[in-house]
Order: sequence, then C-alpha cells, then structure tokens
Amino acid sequence: MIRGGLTLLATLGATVLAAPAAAQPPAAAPPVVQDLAWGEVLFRHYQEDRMGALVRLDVAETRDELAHHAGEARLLQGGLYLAWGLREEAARIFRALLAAGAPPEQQDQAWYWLARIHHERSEHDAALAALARIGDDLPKPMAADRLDLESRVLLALGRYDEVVRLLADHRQPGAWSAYADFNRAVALARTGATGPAAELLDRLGRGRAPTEELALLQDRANLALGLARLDAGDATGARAALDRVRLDGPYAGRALLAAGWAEAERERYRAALGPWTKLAALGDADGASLEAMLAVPWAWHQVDEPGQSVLGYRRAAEASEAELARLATAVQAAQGDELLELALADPEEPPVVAGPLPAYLYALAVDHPFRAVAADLRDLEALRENLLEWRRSLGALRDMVEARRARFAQVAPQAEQRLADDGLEALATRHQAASARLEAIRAAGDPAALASPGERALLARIDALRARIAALPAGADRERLDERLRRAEGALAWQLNHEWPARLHAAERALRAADRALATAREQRESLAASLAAGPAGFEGYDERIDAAAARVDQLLARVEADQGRRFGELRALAIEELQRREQRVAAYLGQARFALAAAYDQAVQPRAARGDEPPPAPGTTP
Amino acid sequence: MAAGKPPARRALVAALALLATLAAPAAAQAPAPDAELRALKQELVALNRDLFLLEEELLFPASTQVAVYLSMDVGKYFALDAVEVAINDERVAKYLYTEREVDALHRGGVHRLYLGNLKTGPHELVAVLVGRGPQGREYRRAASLQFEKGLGPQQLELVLRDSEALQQPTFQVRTWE
Repeated sequence: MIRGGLTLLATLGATVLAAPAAAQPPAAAPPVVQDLAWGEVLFRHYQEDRMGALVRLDVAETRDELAHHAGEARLLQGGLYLAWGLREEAARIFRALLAAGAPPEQQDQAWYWLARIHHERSEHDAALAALARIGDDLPKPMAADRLDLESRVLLALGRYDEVVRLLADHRQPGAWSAYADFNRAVALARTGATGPAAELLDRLGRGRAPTEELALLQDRANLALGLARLDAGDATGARAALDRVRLDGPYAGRALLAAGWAEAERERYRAALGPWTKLAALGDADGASLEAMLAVPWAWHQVDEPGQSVLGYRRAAEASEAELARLATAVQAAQGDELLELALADPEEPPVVAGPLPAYLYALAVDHPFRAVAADLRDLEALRENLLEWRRSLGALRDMVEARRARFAQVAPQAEQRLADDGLEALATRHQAASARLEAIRAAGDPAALASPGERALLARIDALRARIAALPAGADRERLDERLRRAEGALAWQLNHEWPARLHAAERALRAADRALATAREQRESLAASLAAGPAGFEGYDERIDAAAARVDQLLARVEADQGRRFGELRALAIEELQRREQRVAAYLGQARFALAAAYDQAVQPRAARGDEPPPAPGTTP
Repeated sequence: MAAGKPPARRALVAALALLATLAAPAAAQAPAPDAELRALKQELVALNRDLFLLEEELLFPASTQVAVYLSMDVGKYFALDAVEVAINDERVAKYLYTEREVDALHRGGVHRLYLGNLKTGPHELVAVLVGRGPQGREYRRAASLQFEKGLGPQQLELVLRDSEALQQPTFQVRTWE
C-alpha cells in the first residue's frame, strides 16, 4: 500500500510538474506559481502530506484563491483522492473537469486518470474507451504512463497480440522500459511465442539493476525464465537464470528451491544439495526453508547416503516441530494487542513487537488481504489522531473565546466611562472660543490683549494712578506726576507693541498645537469606540460554531473508533486464518518427514538386497 | 510424487502469470478502502477545511492578518538551510528546513512560514536567509521591505531566485494584492 501509494504519488507529481518522478529526473525549473494558495498546496503535496494538500485545496476553493490554477488544482485533487483509495470521488472530479470544458491538455489528463480508475475497478473495456479519448495534448512525460496503462489494460482483456504490437520497439524511458519488456514477454508467452518471450526475459534479467524496484523486476524475470526452462527440460539454462536471482530478495526461496530441482533433473543430486542446504539454513517464514529441509535428505537418499538422509529427515522433523511451536506462539500473540501494534507500525521500519509474529506477517504477499486491512487501519488511526488533535485545539479555542469575553467584560465599562468622561467636546468648545478671540485680537490689533499677567497688573496700576492724579489739585506737582505716569505708560505701550508679533505668533502656534492634540484625542476616542464596538466580534457567535464543530469531531471520532474495532476484528481473523493455514502446511511437512524417517529407518535395517530400489517417499515440494 | 522424478513444474505462461501481478511501476496501487472508511475520509477533509477556516478567522482576522511566504527556484547557487523573519525589529519566525521541504520548494511549493496580526499602518519586514553557497560555504542574505498594512489581509513573499547573470542567488520581498 505504501509502495503503491508512493508510486502513484510520483505519477501524480507528473500531472503538476509534467515530469514523472518515477521515470525521469526532476524538472530543471519549477512551474510558475501564480496563486500563493496553489504553492501552499504543492508544498504539502510534494511532502506526501495527502490530507494536508486536500484540505488546503478545499480551503483555497472555498476562498476562491486559485484563479490561475483551477484546472490543475482539480486534476491534483482527483489524483490525491485516487491515491487515497477514493476512486468514486476522483472519477467525479475528473468527469466534472471534462464537463466544464477544460483546456485540451487537462482533458487528456482527465481521460488518462479515468482510464486508470476503470482499470483499477477491472472495467477494462471502459478503460480502453477512456484511453481512446486521449488526444495529442497529453503532457509528454505522461506518454510513458499512458503506454504502460494501455498495455496492462490490453493484457487484462486478453488481447495479447495487440500488446505485442503496442510494445514492439517501444521507447519507454528509464524504469518504464524494463516494465514494458516484461509485459511484452508476458504477452508473447500468452500468444505461444515462448522463444521470443524467453529471449526478452533473458535480456531483462542480465546486468546490474540501478534501483531496488528494477532489481525486483529482474529477479522476477529470472525466476520466470528459470521455471520455464526447467519445464522445457533445459536444466542448465534454468540453473543459469535462477542463479541470477538475488539471495536477499523476496524470490530467493523459490529460486533456490527451483535451482535444486534443476540439478536433480540432471540427476546431479549432490549439486542439488547446494541450493537446498542454503535455503534450509535461511529459515525464512514463508515455508520454503522447510520444503528445502525435506528435499535435502531426499537428495542424500538418491546418492545412497542413508545416514545423511536419516539425519536430514530428523532435522526436518525437528524443524517442523519447532516451527509449529513458533506458530502457536504467533497465534497467541495475534489474539492479543500485539497484532494491532504491528498493524499500526510503519511496515518499512523494524518490528515494534518481539516474538515470531512479525516475521510471519511481514512475509505475507503484497496483495494479501491482511495488508489492505492493515493499511486501512493505519489510515483510520491517522484520522483518529487528527480528530483528537482537533478536539484539543477546539478546547483551546473555546478557552480563548472565553478569555476574550471576560477581558472585554472587564475593560469595556472602564473604556465606556473614559469615553463618557473625556471632556473632549468641552475642550473643543474652548478651543473654538480661543481661536475666535485670537482672531478678534488680531483684527483689532490690540497688543494689550496679549499682555502678560505682570503687564496687565501694570496697566491696571497706571489706570488707578491716572484717576488719583486727576483727583489732585491743579498745580506743578500734578503736572509732574502726570508727566511721569505718561512716560511709564509710554514705556509699557512700547514694550507691548514690540512684543506683539512674537506673542501673536506664539498664540497662534499654541492654538495649532491644541488643534492637533484635539485631533489625536478624537482619533484615540474613535479607535477606542471602534474597539469597543468590535470587541464582541472576537467572541460572539464562536461558541455555537465551536460547539457544533466539537460535536462533529466527537461524532466522527465515535465512527472512526467503531470502524477501527470492526476492521481490527477482520485483521485478527485474517492473521489467525493465515497462521493456521501455515500450521496445516507445516504439520503436513512434519508428517512427511516422520513418514520418510520411518521408511529410511526400515530400509537402513534391511539388507540392501532385500530393499530393492524402493526409496523413501520424496517430499512433495514444488519450486 | 514419485521418487526420483522432478516436482510438478509450470510452463512459461504459467510462470509469467504467477509473477506478472505487478507488471508495471504504476500497477501497485492503493487498495480501495471500504465504504465507511471512504465516507470518513471525505468527511474528515470537509471537517478539517471548516476548522481551518474557523481557526484562522478567530486567531488571525482579515483586518489584522499578515502572512509571510517563502518560494525558491532550483537553488543552483544557494542551498537553503534556514530563514529568520523580523517585523518592526521583533523576530517573529525562525524556520529550519528539512531536505524534503527544500525539495518541495524546488518543485514549486510555497511555504507559509509566518501568520500573525498587525495593526494598520507602516511596518518594516526584515528577512535573513541562511544556507550554503556554490562552494559549500555558509551564506547569508538579507532583504527588507517597508510596507503599509491596510484594512485587508497582507501577504508578503520572500522570493529566492538564481541569477545566471550574477552567478549568485537574488533575494527579494514582494507584496501580493
């Protein structure tokens, strides 16, 4: 599932970048991103954060943020749903894109993905029809995907001649080429052209594969070729092909078993012991080792080594008994929580559980139903973790809304009081009056109006003295005093006139400063009033939304956990069924070993002349 | 099986049929989950979308929202390690990039490295990129931008590009409308 998912994702990348990561080097330059939201989607997608990318796509669509990448976004969305196993949703998206009259390049890609969905659903005729709708605008890097898909659809339909023609002289790039050759070999063999098919496999199985994926394909080609040659009686050729299968790969067991039979075919039983002994020592969990343990004493018997044969059967019986004990332990573990731990663990990582159970489960074939259910369980666990995370986040959001409400309730009355008591209007009225007065003073040109308090006191004293002097009897003293008063009055008037421009300017400046201060105070007042008005928007209405979301989270969590329980039950049943099947097989090996052992003993105690040519029963092994 | 005879074997067709179950790189595909799991996945996407919107609306209202993004091209002259962002002399983000994230950036991904709130009015953003230059030596580039925060959300993008003419990376900050 993981591997398949990655491969699919790599191909999905091609729909965006027009460069399949699986087959070609990365593009020299990234595509031009014209909407930031699209860039964010790609950032998540290229980190294989499938759900993150889907959610960001949905958000961007809701906010209408993908004006320049709408078609690409739909293609990616469909592809992501497909990679997540949601074929119906993906198909709906691709059909909608076609119905909306997308540009030809996008239409061709949509038809490709629809073909792929049909093929995955085993609707091969519909897949072929969808492939036929692809025009000339499919991005070039997707041509390899298309050819590969078409060949697989035709293979599925049994149209082998067409596959042979389709893949003749193909120019598939990189890794695609090896797969095309393999598929062509399959088609050739099905049409009866076994010679050319074997030639193709032989070519495919030679050389050093640059990647693990290709090495696996090479192993498969060599094993197929080896088995075919063995069947055709070409034991030498079979051994050559089987020896090319890697010993650390998943096909090693079958290759070693077949290699032994290739030697046995030529009655080279001692040579057969080589691969079989090697396989018996591997102790793998898929049972091939036990088959080899039975084949080894059989070979010893063929070369008339009864002692070794007896020893070998005894070892096989002991190994089968030990294997049965291990299987019993594994069955017990599968009935407990360890199975769930194993199912949820990353299959690419070392086992998280001790004991024999992991080895049996990891040895299951990639298409074994156990793997699909385990993959679903991992998906369900990821959904559960996501929901638990939201449950925590919603709690925090609820607290924050409550804190905002409390804070508002605390500061709002004070702020309202401040607004009520700020006296700003009274100050504005005074400012207006002062402005009017200054204007009148300037119009009247009255310097005394801007006199300082000391000068005003002097002016008052001068007025008082003038009245008193006027009340004196006429005479020299009164004139002298009057003269002195006029001089003082003149000096004061000179001073007032001299200071007048500066004082008028200062007064005007002070008024302007007051004006600015009033404007600032008004802005602050407006800001405070706006904050007061907007304050409730920070918490009002959110309680209901958070509560509704929390209810959705709880409801989904309950469904996820219920489904987890149901699927785990299925997983347990599958695991136990598989282990019991193995138990039956091993019990059969044990029976064979014991029977062969008894027969070998019987023969060992009889004189050779009395035994004739009757050998002990041979193991029922197949390569 | 009779002794002395090889075991049952299969012809080439059968051998290939046995081994051709995964005959193509794209053939290994995700199994279709059952109906309930499919429904749950779809509902989870919708729920995450709604909660994403709710959270952002609550924590970063449009009137005060400011987001800073980073994008880059192939990175021939600069291998990105980290980015620091300061707004009005206050550091608001420091991010260390993994190889996987840098790869996603090279392929066209855009990373939102900061989302926060700012009052309307003038502000200054300073960003410093840390990484390795063509000879593998540590390399720091800084860029700044004076911007005016308006009434709507403000989006800023740190753009790192290779300049063939200058034989070095160029770094600038751009505003999005």
